[in-house]
Amino acid sequence: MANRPPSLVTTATARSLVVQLGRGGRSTEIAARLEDAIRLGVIRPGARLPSEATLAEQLQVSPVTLREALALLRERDLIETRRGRSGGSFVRGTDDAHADGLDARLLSLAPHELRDLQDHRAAISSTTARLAAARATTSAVHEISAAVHGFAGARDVAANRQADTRFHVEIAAAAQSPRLTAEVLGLWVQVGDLVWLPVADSQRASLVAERAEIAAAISCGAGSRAHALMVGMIDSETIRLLSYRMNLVIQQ
Amino acid sequence: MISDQLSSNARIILRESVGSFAELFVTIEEIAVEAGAMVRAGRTDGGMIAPTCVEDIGGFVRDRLARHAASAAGMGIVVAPRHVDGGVGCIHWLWHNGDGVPTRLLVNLDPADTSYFDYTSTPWFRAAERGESRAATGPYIDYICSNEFVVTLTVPVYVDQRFYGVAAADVRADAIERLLVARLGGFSVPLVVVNAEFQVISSNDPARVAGDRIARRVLGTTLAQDAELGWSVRCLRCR
Repeated sequence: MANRPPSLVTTATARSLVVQLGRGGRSTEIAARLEDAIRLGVIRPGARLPSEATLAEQLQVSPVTLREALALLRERDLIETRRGRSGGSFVRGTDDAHADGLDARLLSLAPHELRDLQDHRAAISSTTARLAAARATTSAVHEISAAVHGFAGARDVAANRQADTRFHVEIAAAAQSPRLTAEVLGLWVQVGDLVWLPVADSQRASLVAERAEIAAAISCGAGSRAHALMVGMIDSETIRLLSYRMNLVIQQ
Repeated sequence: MISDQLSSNARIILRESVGSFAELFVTIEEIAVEAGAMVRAGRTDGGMIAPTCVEDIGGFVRDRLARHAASAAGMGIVVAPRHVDGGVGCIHWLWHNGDGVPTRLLVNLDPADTSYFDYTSTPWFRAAERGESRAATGPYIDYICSNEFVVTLTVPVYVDQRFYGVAAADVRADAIERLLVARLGGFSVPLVVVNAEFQVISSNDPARVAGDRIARRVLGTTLAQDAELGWSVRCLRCR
C-alpha cells in the first residue's frame, strides 16, 4: 500500500471531534480526543495529518494549543513528524498493531459504559430510520441501498466500517436532520472499529440481511418497522460486543 | 376552477425564485470556463491534455465566493477522477464555516480508506455528467461539508467538448424558503414549490416543511413549471 495517497482529518471528522470538545478545548483534551480517534481507527495508521495551521482551524483551537497537543501525541509514540518536502505529521503503527490496540481499548470500557454507548446509538439511529421512511427521496433510498451493497462486498474491518458508517449516515441524511446526522457522526468517532471486533465471517450474511431489511422498510415507507429493526440490530451488536469483551477478560 | 390570475402569479413567483440563482449560475459558469482554460494551458507539445487537479483555480474561487458571500454557502469545482493523475479525483471547495472566513473543504478521496467520499455517485455530479447545462440538486443535508440543508447549483466543466468536471455553488435551503414564503403567504389556497422529486422547496402550509416529499396523489394542479431546474408551483387542493 506504499502508493496509497495520504488520508486526512476530513472536515466531517473534525466537526465530530469539535462537537465532543466544544470550542477552544485545552491541549490535553485535544490530545485525548485525537488519541481516541487514532486508536479507534477513525484516523488510520500511516495517515498524514493536515498542516498545523489547517488542523488548528478545523478543531477551532489556537495554533499554540494544537502544537502542545501534537507534542503529547508524539511523546506517546502515536504520531511522528518527518522533515522535508514530503514531510508532515504521520500516524504511526500498522493495521495489525491497530487490531491489538482495539482489544485494549475495548477492555478499558466497563460493560455498562459500552452498553450506554450502544443505547445512545440505538436511540439516535432508530429515530433516523423512522424519519427516513417518511422523508427519503428516491436518490436518498438509492444511497442507502448502495451502502448495504458496499457492506455486502466489504472484505476487512476498514471496509466494513466504511460501508456501515455510510449506511447509518445516509439514513440520518435521508431523515433530513442536521442535528441527528452530526450525532451519528459524533458517535461513530467514539465507537470506531470496536463494533467489528467480534464479527466472524460466518456471521456476515446475516448482518447484510439485517441491513437490507432496514433499507427495504425505509424504501416502502414503513417507519415503525424500520425503527424496530434498527433497535434490534444495534441491540444484537451490543450483545456480541459484551460477549467478546467477556471472553477477553476470561482469557487474561 | 383555477383563475388566470392565480396561474400568472405562480409563474411570477417561480420566475423570481429561479431568477434569484441567475447571478450564481453565471458565476459558476465563469469558474467552469476559467478551469477549462487552465486545463488547456497545460497542454503538452503533442496537443495532449495532461491529467491535472487544476490547483490554480483556488484563488479564482475564493474571489468569486467573497463576491457572493451573502447568497452562497460554498463554491468550487471537482474534477472527474479519470482526468486526475492516479485516478483518485480532486476537489477544490471553499465554504463559510460560521465565522465568515472561507475554509477549504477536506475530504478523503482514497477509495481504500474508511471515510472515502465518492462524489461521482452524488446526484449533483451525475446531473452535470449527464450534460444538464444548469441543474439544482436538493434540498439535502450536506454532511460532507457544512452539515447544513442546502441546494447545490451545478454546471459542467468542458475541455474540448469533453466532460472534465463540475463547477458548483451551494445555497442554504432556508434562504430560498424565506424568499419564497413571503410571496406564497399572500394566497388563500395551499401552494407549494416542489423540485423534480416532488420535495418541498417552500410552501404556505405550515405542515409542509422544506424537504418533505409530497405524495403524487395530493400533488394537485401544476400552476407553473421551470423546464431547466424541474421546479414547479402546485396548488394542492385546486382542480
